[in-house]
Parts: sequence; C-alpha cells; structure tokens
Amino acid sequence: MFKKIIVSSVFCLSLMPGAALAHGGHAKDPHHLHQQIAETEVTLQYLSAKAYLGQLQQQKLKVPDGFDNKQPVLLVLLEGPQGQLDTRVKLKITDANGKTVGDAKGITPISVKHSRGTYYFTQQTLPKNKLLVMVQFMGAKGIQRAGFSLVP
Amino acid sequence: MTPANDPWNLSGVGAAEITDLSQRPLDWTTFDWMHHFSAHWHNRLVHFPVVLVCVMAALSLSFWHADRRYWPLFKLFWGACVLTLWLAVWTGQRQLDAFAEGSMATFAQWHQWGGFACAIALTLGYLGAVRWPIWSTRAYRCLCVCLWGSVLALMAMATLGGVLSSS
Repeated sequence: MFKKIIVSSVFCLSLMPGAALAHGGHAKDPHHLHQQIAETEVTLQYLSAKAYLGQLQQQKLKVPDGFDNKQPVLLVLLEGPQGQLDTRVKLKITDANGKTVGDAKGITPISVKHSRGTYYFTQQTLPKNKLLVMVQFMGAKGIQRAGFSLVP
Repeated sequence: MTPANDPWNLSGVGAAEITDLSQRPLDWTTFDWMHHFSAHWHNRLVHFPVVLVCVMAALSLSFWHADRRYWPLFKLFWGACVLTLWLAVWTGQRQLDAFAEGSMATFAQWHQWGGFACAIALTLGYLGAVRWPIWSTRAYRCLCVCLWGSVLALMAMATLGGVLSSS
C-alpha cells in the first residue's frame, strides 16, 4: 500500500512540470488568431459590434470615432518586445477563390490610441465563407506580413 | 510611384500568397525565446502548489489513522507546496500591472489577497507541522480537514485566476 501511494504520488508529480510549463496563458479560440513575425506577435480578432463594445467597456476604453454598431469588427494588435507597436498597418482580405473583400489596394484600419498603446480596427461586412486576411505592417525589420485563415 | 513599386499597394496580393503566409512555419531563428520563457511565470508556477495540496489531501484520505511512515513525505510535499506558493505570489505581484486599470482591477485584488491568505495559512500550517509532528489520530484528522479546506481555497483562487487570464 505504502509503495503504491509513493509510486502514484511520484507519477503525479512527474506530470506537473510539463503540464504547468505548457500553460502560458493565451486561450485559443477560432476568432482570436496569433502569429509570430520576427519579434512581433500579430493578433487578429474578429468579433461582433456588441462583443467589441463589451470589450471596450470592460477595459474602460472609449468607443472610437466613426464606429458603426451594426457591422462586425476586425481588430489587429501588434506587440513587440517594447509593448504595442504604433505603426503603419494595411490589411488585404480575400475569399478562398481570391475575390477581394473591400478595397483591392488594401484596407487601412483606423488606429486607436489608448493608455496601454495602440490597436487597429476596421469594420467590414464579411461573407460567411472562409476568408484569408493579410496584415502588412512596419516592423523592426522593415515591412512585414502575416497571413491568417478566418471563418467568420 | 507605380502600384507595382509601392509596397503599400496590395492590389497584386492574391489568395495564394496569403495562404502561404498563413501556413508559414515558425521562424525559429528569430523566435523570441527569452520573452516567451520569462513571461507569465505566475500562470505556470501556481499549478505546483495546487497539485501538491491535492496530492496531500488525496493521500490523507488513503489512510484515516496517523502513521509515522507518511510524515516525511507529507513534510516534503508541504515544504515544496509552501515554497512554490510564495514563488507564485511573488510572480503574481509582477503580473498585477496588467490589471491595474480596467474593470478587472477589483477582481485582481481579491485574487491577490486571497492568494496571500492561502500562502500565509499554508506556511503557518507547515511551520506548525514541522515543530509539532502529529501522532494522535484526532490531530491527524484535523490536519486532513485543513488540507481539504486548503484544496477548496486554492480552487477558489484558481477560478479567480482563470477568469483574469481569459479577460
């Protein structure tokens, strides 16, 4: 009995470091996408206007000028080693067949500054099928691009 | 500048290029290992005291009489639990800034003070257990009840922490 308890305890404890170290913090969900480009973590989030307003209220942030509460929101956050990046950003959205959504030359999102940095948002009525979103930004090593596959 | 030369004119970007970007493997040479290694240590360390207390509480149910053979094991687990709990408190203090502003500030304070209370209670319990080893069955049963109380308290703190980390 004593040996069994010791062995099972040691087994439980041996699982702990792996399980604990694997858990860094970010929750995974299909509308909250991340990509690491060089030193910058690019986060793309697609959410309804209602959810976005709830998020702003939770973080005590102001509703940006020109916000339309009927259209869903596409948010981009760029985080480098020094915090959130304040830089030029452009988006290109296409469907799986290559048909462009929005401006063919790219969409310039609205840059929103707040106490903790800057994020970028745009409002587009997106079709319900699979979409491809490219985020182009000015990173530490010049112009950099991140690509995401998104199902609204 | 012609559209072809303007890197900010994305009219030439097609679905295939974006698909390639979305499927691009991680560039390990530029991956910021130090940043990812050093970030969010509280979220990692906090699992150790939770599991150690659960293991001790589960062990305490395996036998319902004080048995001196288990005592060194208990002291080892309890010591490791206290050590990792204080490390979790220290690293948690360093992560509090992220919640200094916003609606989760009060929530973060409950988590902070609850964590402190758990750490102090378990440390006092450990010091007491080291100073006065428990041999009587009655005292041992009190210890078991306290351990299960600690499991519930740490689970409550873990719930608050889970809400904070996903906010």
